[in-house]
Amino acid sequence: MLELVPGPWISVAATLVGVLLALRFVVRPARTRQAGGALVAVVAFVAVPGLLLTVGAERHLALSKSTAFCLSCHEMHPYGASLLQPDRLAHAHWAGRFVPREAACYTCHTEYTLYGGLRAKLKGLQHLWVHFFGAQPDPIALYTPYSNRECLHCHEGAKSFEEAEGHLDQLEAFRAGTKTCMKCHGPSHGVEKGAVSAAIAGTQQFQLPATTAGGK
Amino acid sequence: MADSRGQTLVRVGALVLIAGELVVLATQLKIGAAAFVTFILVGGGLTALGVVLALWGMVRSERGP
Repeated sequence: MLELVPGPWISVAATLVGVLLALRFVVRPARTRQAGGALVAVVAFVAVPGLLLTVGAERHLALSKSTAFCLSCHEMHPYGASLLQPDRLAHAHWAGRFVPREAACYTCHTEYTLYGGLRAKLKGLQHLWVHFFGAQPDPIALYTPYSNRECLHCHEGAKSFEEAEGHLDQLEAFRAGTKTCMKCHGPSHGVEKGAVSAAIAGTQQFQLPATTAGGK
Repeated sequence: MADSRGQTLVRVGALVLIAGELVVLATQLKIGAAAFVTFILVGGGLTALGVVLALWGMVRSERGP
């Protein structure tokens, strides 16, 4: 059963208007040379696609940050499952609401740099390529080691961070990356070998509980 | 002759544009991330191609035979 995602209907309505306007020129392309025809053509060929691009980009970029979006791929199911396993660092962030539940993956896995968001999108395209044409690693590894910068972005300056033993006196080492947060606080997801393959094969299914998937 | 080709371009461009918009519209369905991104890329590409073809056809039609 096909189901529409909830949201504004402006993009659906604009698309239908655009299709109907463009159809006029499929039937009679000479209309572009009639009085007013060129204006309608510009609306159909430029204004409507432009509107769709503007409305769609904002909505779709927001959607691509959602936890549900990331976990819609089978490869990610074991990582989603780790959010519910109490001995995992990911679970501590998820259960403790240190990250917004509706954007849990994006919050931790996007670099807090000027072009971090853009790089995350480009990596997403790389994921897509591997999904369709490559061999999924099992378990999936990060392209580069997880940077302390992402941890410190939220934790540095927090009372709980500063009061924890061994944090303040090694802050410079954390900043420099010579001592990693993961050394003491891992595993983040702790996905075991074989879990990704099982998820891809469909032998292990996972879905976040409905009460927490939307972060409500 | 150029006029006829221009109108053909407008027609083909409009068709490609419609196809692209419909593919993008399909992202409104509840689909997985991989299908979603694929539809966006393919639909966006088709739409952009359709716009270019249709506008090019309009320009050629204006110049006339």
